[in-house]
Amino acid sequence: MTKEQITARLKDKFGPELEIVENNQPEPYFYISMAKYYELCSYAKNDPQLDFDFLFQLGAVHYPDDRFEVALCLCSHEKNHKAVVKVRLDHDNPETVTISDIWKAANWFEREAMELFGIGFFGHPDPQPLLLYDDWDYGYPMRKGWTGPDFVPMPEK
Amino acid sequence: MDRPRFRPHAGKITVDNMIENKDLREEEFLINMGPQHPSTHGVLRLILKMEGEFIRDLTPYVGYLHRSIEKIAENRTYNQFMPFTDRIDYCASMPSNLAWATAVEKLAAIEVPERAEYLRVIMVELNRIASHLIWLGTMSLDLGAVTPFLYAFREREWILDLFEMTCGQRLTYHYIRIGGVARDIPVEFEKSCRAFIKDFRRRVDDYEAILTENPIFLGRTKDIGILPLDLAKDLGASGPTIRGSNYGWDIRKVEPYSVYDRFDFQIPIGANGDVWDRYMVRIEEFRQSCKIIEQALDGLPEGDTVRSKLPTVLRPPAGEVFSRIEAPRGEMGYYIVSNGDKKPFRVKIRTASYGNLQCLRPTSIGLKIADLVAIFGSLDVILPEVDR
Repeated sequence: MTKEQITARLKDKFGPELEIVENNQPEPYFYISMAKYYELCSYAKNDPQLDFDFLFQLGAVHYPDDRFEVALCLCSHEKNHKAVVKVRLDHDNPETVTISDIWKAANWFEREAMELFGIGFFGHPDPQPLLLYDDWDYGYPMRKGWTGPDFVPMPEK
Repeated sequence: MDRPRFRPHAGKITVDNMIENKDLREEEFLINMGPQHPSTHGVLRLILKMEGEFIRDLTPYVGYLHRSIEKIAENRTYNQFMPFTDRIDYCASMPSNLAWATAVEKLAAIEVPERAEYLRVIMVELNRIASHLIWLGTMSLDLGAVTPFLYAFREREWILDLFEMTCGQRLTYHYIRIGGVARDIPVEFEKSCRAFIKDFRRRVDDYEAILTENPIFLGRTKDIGILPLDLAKDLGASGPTIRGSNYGWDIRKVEPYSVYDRFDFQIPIGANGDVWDRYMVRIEEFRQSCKIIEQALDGLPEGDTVRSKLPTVLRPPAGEVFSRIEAPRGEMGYYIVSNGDKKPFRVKIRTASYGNLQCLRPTSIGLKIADLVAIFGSLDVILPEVDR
């Protein structure tokens, strides 16, 4: 499916909950509201027209003093199309639901986001730290403005 | 000085008594494997729950090589970050370079000179062969065959010499740059590369003569670690791992980047997704890569422009981009968020081993530790890619 077809199909289903990001990339980019996030993922995976059977990546983005975002890059093997779905999370209390029951690949991505950004994924089957060492006690290092004991920021020129 | 002496057990716990008393029982126990185990190819740590010799459960622990490359990316300009991509997958630095370069070029709409595109393809395919050679050597070494290891590293040496004459490096190349490549190939490169391809075709037949029909190798790999296709897709497997499960998915074919659409090559696939199928897929990829390199050398356009003119400090427009390529281990891609500054706002690195490693648990439960070693070898996971 083309960019327009994917957008139209999702817009039909989710209406105002879906917000399209205008850019000149070949893939569609959109925001989905928190309430419909799980429903959209489930629909994208199971709808025979969309058939997004491959979660390429799940990454979190921190906008300081504003919000967190979770960005999913979805791909379809059979239809050979892609899309980027994003969801905005509250800055002070970033929480959403897990989608690791829809795509098993989300399991580790969510653990990583949980550990490095401090985002809660409600209902995650194995909410353990993934990358940092066991005694890590210095907060969430991937947040903007994070400092740790040995952290020296790059000097500005 | 009192020396410790052997003292027979005071109680009545002997094997005979245990059988009589029906105290002998099966028990699950935990084994720690790694992070310095020779067959984990780096620093993977596995906690195995064993019942006798059979694996009942398995938990991988990663992160021993975590260098927070994503955080580093936020503090470097786009060009400064390029050497760090070498360190994401040090066995295949060229594809990592290419993935970053294509992502930034897509974001900033940068044109690449045609000669540079061809040089990129040649280097990436040579690196694919070198990376698969490491896989072949180490996997067969894990399975007890030492000869292919020595052969594989002999051939890899030639490729490293080719890289060294091109960019001066033998491991972290930093050759592919944003907007092209660092410099043109030297005059003697083409002759040496063609000689290598001619020689290497024969060498692949040698590897096959040693391994493919070898009964010991077949016994260790056939019908071991079967990965069903549905599960492979669900877990995010890619590259030879998903192609071994009878699925012809290759970014070079389905979504051609660079100039891959101009070459004639096939995508090898396996039959039922066991260790032997993944082995055969990679062996066949040796031949297909040779084919691509030959065509690229034939079609290499004349000229001396190998890098387009770019501003010294690159400032891509605000926006985001998601781009992927086919690295030797599978799909590698970057998700970049730019705010128009000279440094990226956020870089998310998705690597092939991240998905492939998650396939280890479902494929090896119920098998023995020796099979786990074979399965892990066939997935070709490299840990710096998982930890980043």
